Amino acid sequence: MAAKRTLRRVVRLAARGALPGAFAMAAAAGAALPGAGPPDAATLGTVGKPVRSARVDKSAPTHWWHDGIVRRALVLDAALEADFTPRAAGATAGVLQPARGLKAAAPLVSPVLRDESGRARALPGGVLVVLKAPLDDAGARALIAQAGATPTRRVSDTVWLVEAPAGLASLELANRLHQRGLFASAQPDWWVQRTLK
Amino acid sequence: MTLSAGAGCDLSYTLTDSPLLAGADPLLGQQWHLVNTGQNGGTPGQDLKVLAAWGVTRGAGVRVAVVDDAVEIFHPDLLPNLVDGASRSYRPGNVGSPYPLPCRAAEDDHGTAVAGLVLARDGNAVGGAGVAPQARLVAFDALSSSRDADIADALTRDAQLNAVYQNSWGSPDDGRLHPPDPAFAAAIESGIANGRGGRGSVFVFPGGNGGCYVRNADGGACQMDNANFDGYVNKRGVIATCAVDDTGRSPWYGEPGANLLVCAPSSGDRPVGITTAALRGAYRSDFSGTSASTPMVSGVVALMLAANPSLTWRDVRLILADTARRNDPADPGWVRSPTGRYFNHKYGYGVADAGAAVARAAAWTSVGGSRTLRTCTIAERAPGLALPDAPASGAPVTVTDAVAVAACGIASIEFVELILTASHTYSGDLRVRLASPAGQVSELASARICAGDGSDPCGAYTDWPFGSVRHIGESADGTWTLSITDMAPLDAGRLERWSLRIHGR
Repeated sequence: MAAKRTLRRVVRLAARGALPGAFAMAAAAGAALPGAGPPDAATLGTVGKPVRSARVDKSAPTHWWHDGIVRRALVLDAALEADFTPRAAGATAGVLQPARGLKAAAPLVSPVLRDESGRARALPGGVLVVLKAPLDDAGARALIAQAGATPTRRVSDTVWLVEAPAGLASLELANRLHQRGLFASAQPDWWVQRTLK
Repeated sequence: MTLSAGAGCDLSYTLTDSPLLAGADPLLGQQWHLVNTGQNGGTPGQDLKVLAAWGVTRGAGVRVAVVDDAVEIFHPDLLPNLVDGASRSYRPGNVGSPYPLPCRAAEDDHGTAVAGLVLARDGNAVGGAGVAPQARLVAFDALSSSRDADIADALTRDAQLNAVYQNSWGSPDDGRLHPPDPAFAAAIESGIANGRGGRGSVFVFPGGNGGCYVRNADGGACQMDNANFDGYVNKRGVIATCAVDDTGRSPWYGEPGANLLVCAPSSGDRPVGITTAALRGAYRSDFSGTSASTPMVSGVVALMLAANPSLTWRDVRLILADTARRNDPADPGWVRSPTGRYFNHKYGYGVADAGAAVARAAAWTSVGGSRTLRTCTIAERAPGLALPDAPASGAPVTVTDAVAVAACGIASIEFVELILTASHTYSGDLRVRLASPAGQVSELASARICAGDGSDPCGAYTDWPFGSVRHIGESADGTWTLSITDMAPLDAGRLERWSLRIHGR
């Protein structure tokens, strides 16, 4: 029943010109990579919007962060963790893996949080503070110290990296620094899923 | 000396003294994106028009920073253009090294292909050529760590020396709203304000490959992402690029967007890819997507800056738009504005034309950099208008709200930002349009379905910053109209508030 509703909905959208139905005609079977043609239904299956009453909202926020002046919700993904331990030397950082509950034993393992767009985020350590106006090094360091944090290095004219451990402690520090009001904003030094195009 | 990106890597490099050879590039004839003679069944002339530009410059002296997963900087087609010691690795186990090399052949091949398209050396008797084959290479592997601080660091590193920051990465192409992080935004602002002695760093990013990010099981309809859903390319100061195939048409993966400035060639619906550098000193002919078109635009920018180093970041954007070639002219999406420019949400202002851009650059009178850019901020409006659900049959209702702008002081727009907050139980239902006083329309969002368990998986429009290059050259004064339409049943919402920031001169 749900599948039928989904199909009806897609057809309805396409009929209104809201979806690019004709675009799919160019499809050629292949992997979901630009060079090989669009993904086929067998690969990705059906995606649809269920009726509101059928939606299970698994996304009640568990945490928050400050994206500039906007407070954004996060949801803990209990099934995953991100490993930033040095044994991963040479590899791409922030490898997601099934959660093993190793936080106490492995201080560079971070929980994985999903943002409002569903993207995985993790906390390798460090907080980025955005200054309200450019300051010289001495001025910026003094301001960061006044906020109770320890500067690591300047990232750009108005952005500094400050010390914080991996995991939720860096999110908590970022939120505390943001709320103090000394900076334009403060956020964890997120590891974020980015896509090579 | 043997080098690698760290312990456990399956790639390592031994440096030897190899003389720079001279001679024709054997793969040049395969590089249809440079000169398309119809060699793969494409349309002759659907290319970057580099020969006209190369008669003037090949990019010598212009530094291009490639920000990617890794770059094989010792590749024989890249090494001759490498700036010694200027690159940097962010990879765990290799942090701070000036050798941001690939670690694993199966994973780290992207940046090498990208760098080859920008500036593979010409006339060295190996491989092919980049668009700016004598530009200088700097490589940052910030995507290997993917930490916000590393991305921001790479985008601002040596900003007085690096002219172009080439990026073939972005947010996932899944139809969802992906906001940019504040550190990224600050890096871009810093670069355009202070880079190159105040003339501004030039940032080039891909519009994305989400033209068919998921397909319904009936096989009939694709869900289409939009470059305006990617916060990176909505940012003022970022050049957003699109792709066309070897016939000059949009490929299946092309995303529309009001923020797309220009396109460049790439793969299409037929199995015709792009020939460029590959790992272990090799070459490939299957590079694809906006990852391939974006470095071509960066190459064109390098040629322009070589022809006229005084160009500001704003000049570069205006010249690219003004000289782009109107491809696929029969496409119904082309609209001519009162300024005489043609724009198409699939193609921006068209395909970058290296020859025309270099010629224009050489004779260009600068409009100035960030310091002379005027910004007109239109106070936030909070109409609180209901967005009625689309009826099961019949036409959906369009809700509009307008604002009159007067004495803005901008006679020629360069960029428009719309900051929108609309509460809705399924934001993917919403079509969002902004009409300028001249009647030109930015199509900012179309309806779509997104995967996910959440109540609003496409993401909420909470202070969402749409960017548009659609209105270049128009006057800011007059009435701007925001139109929002709920295109699909089952959900409804509210237009809470919106504001405009108009930039120009």
